[in-house]
Amino acid sequence: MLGNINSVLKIRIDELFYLSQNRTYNDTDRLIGFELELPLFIHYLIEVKKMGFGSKYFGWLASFGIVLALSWFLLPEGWNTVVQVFAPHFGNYIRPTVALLNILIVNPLSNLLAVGIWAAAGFVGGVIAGTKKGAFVVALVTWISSQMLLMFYVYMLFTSGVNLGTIPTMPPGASIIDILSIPLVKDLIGVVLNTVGAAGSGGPDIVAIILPVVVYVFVPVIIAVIAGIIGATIRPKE
Amino acid sequence: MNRKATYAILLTIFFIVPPLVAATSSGSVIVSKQEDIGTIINQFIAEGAEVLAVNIDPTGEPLVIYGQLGLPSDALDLTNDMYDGCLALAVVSTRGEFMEYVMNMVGGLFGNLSNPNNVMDSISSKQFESGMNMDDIFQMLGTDFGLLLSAYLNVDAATSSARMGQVLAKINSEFQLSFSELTSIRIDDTMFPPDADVQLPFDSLDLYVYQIGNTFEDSLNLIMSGLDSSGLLGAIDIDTFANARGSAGGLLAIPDMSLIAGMFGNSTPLTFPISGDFSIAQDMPTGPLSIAAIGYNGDQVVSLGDTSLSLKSLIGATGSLTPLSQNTFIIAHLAGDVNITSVSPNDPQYTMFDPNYGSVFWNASNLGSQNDYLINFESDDYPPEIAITRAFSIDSITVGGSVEVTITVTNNADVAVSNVLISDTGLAPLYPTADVSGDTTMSVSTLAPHENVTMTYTVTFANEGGYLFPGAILSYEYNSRTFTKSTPDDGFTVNPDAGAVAGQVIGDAMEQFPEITLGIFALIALTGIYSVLGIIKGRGGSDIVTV
Repeated sequence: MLGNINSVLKIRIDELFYLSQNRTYNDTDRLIGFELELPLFIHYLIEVKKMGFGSKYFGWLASFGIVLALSWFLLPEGWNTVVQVFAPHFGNYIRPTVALLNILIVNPLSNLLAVGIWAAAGFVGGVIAGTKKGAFVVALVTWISSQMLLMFYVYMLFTSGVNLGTIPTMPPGASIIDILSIPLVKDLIGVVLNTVGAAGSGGPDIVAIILPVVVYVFVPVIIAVIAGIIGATIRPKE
Repeated sequence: MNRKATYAILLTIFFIVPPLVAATSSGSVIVSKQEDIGTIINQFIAEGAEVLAVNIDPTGEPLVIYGQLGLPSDALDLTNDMYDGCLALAVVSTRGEFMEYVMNMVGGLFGNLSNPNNVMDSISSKQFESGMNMDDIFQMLGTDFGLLLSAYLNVDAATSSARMGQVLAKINSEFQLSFSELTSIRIDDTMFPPDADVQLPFDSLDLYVYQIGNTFEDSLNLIMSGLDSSGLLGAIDIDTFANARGSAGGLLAIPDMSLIAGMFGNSTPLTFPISGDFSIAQDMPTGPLSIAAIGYNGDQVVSLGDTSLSLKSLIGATGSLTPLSQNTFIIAHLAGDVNITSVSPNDPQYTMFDPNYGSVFWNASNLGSQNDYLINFESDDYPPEIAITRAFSIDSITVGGSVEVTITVTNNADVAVSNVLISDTGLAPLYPTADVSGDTTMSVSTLAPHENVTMTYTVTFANEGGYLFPGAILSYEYNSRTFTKSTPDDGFTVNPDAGAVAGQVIGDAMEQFPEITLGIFALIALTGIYSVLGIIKGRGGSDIVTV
């Protein structure tokens, strides 16, 4: 069915169609298409992918890896300022902490980057898991893993780094304004101000403060699950 | 600097000097009573005015401020309905040590809020009773930021929000400044529980805070680009301001001064250090008020042997300096024991200078276009040019790395200076986790002409982050006088190391929670093995196409 793969993988586009439909190519079928030449390593990538395809374990590995890597390397400028200011005093756990915090408490309207990260992680996890149930499990376990890791980071931050007597020093080029521009910080300020404003008839409404935060906490797993199910639907287990 | 000096500077720059010069020269404005200040400001607002103010400190370092009063009103369209209810609008963009420099100058006004003599006492809150330095607040604010702040008084929330949007669009179209909202706050009675019995002096106050999206250089250029450039502004090189060691620029607009006056309607008249009382409610001008200004502080520009100061060079101008047709004023002050011998131009009708106080005033509009404004003084009025620089062996490092810091003091003069003291001890107290090794102080009894000395120390960083190296301080003596100068504050970045953090996480986890960590790793490993075996058996994998 496939041509010579010693040096170059040749495959006709109509054959790909048959393959994707899990059907056997029949010589009597009319062939319409063109021939693609793919480098050999693509072929091997396909083979490796197929090996792991259908595995929740590898789905979780890939999904969790995506979450950790993208949250680290795509840390928004405002959070980066937080790290720049606080890390000299609080230690090296501040960056991984804020990196995970940024994508684990998500207002989907203002933090599109986090939405994208969870969508990507969920989708890849779903594709690899191959079933809707598997995609759900992968997304859930990835989210729980991230939560557990964040808890560990926070624990380490407070036990090894934080000195409450230290006033962080703003390095040249940085400003607290950058921190105020962080979507999560803006959201929380808005929540607090609106809640205080709405609390004219009594004390502050704690529920009104906590509720949005609780919603923000569950947004990532919802996004990941939806993206995962989409991924599993697009590329079902063969 | 004490409170009186602070008032003197502010009043001198903005209110007293220009009309004084005008009064002594043209007779069109008379300043005989404080009650006339409102009239004078109203005239400036209506006609427009520009001021170039220069201060040279005893070490020859300049502070330069250029501002326009009244002129930005047209660009901002301050009479438009979108400003109805707007108390004030401020745009400020700053970089480097300028704000700190200015705040140090006016430190008596805002210095320590617990100071019993402080002018802020009447609005100090309980939080400040234990003593609070405004430096701490500015330290947190940082040195580099761009902000727009605005307040609407007694306007319903939707209307004020809509008007704020229109104002932003106007500023964007006139100045090409872009903004992103940081926060907005509405203060009214509903903010407070009824039993708190809070009586606000207004029905509502909407506060808006936006971050400027443009770069600092662009912000300065754009702010100035929207102003009247037919006067001195046309000759000013904005880059001279933007590239200084500290600089800032901004706009302040008060669409209706009577709104401010109304808020102070029943207040006790403020007593100014100059004689007499000044009631804001009575003397505040009415109508729109707008001020736009840029400023910078720089390195030493005059030194031993120099006999004149060119104001043109301070603003980076290359051509002639053409004033507005009216109300352009140039003010210079040479601090310390400077003996001004002459100034140019020196038309007795339009120039005032006081050798005793080192002050010079020019009514530039009446003097017309000039090639330059020069102040001449004795050749030994300023200290020898001694330069101090700080260099880092590398721009940035990763966690655990070290950087070598070298302080170089160079005597660029033809004379020797004595008792040279170098101190760069600011880092260690700020960052206990940074390990400083080597000498951070040094003294040299005599530094010969054109000689230099260096001091080197090493800093090792255990944590990532942005580190502030406070300015290294140099003091030296010449001619029985002691002079002090410093390097700018420097920032140094220690980059993260993802691999090192991963290793640290695993190591700390094993140390803190060995059983749990081993269990998790075992679970991951066993699950992995199980999955791989499943794939090999064909449970989880797909058909592999046979070639």
